[in-house]
Amino acid sequence: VSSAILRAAEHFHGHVALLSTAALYHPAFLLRRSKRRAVAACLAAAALVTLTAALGAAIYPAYRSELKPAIFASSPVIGMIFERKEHLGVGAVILAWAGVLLHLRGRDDDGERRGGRSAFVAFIGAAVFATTAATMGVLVAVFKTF
Amino acid sequence: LWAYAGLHLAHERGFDLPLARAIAPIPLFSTFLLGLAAAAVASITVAFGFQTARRFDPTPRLLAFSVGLFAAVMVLCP
Repeated sequence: VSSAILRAAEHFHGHVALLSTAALYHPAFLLRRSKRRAVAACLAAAALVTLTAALGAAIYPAYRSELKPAIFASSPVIGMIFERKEHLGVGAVILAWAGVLLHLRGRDDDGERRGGRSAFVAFIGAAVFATTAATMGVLVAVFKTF
Repeated sequence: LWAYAGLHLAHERGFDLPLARAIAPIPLFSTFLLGLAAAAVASITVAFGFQTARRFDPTPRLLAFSVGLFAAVMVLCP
């Protein structure tokens, strides 16, 4: 894969990451009330963060072979920041889909969504993880890119 | 989250499961896939193994604890 394609994919990954980070706060805000229905917002946020992760996974092998050794050689701190970022990104994806599944549970007799509070916690966690990962990603991208 | 954190810690300590190495050469991918499989097994077990409707009651606190644990493992043991 040429470096131009990798650079374009990396930029697209970064922009979608920032967009999905913002999107994750939408269901987190809406689901603060357990009775609220926000299926479209939950699905859209989960889909966006999954697209971000898929793009990251696509360029990850090239990152490991081309960038990672150089980053660790020149700044181990930045390298360790990236290592943390990728795991927090995975956590954001896991929590976003957990939030979707919890939100899709049925309702109790009193109208409360079963798992509604859990969906709120899941999206808050996903949004915090995504924010942290995006911030770390910007730090690494400023330091070195394809 | 627990499975992913456990597999990640095992990898960091040099105890990679043979299955993980067989699934994908990149640890990040194999850890994710194995964590996903563990989540599916756990979800099916909970869904079919417990009949009480109150099983979701402790979930928000358990989930919040799991998020904190996952974050701590990833930040302290990258």
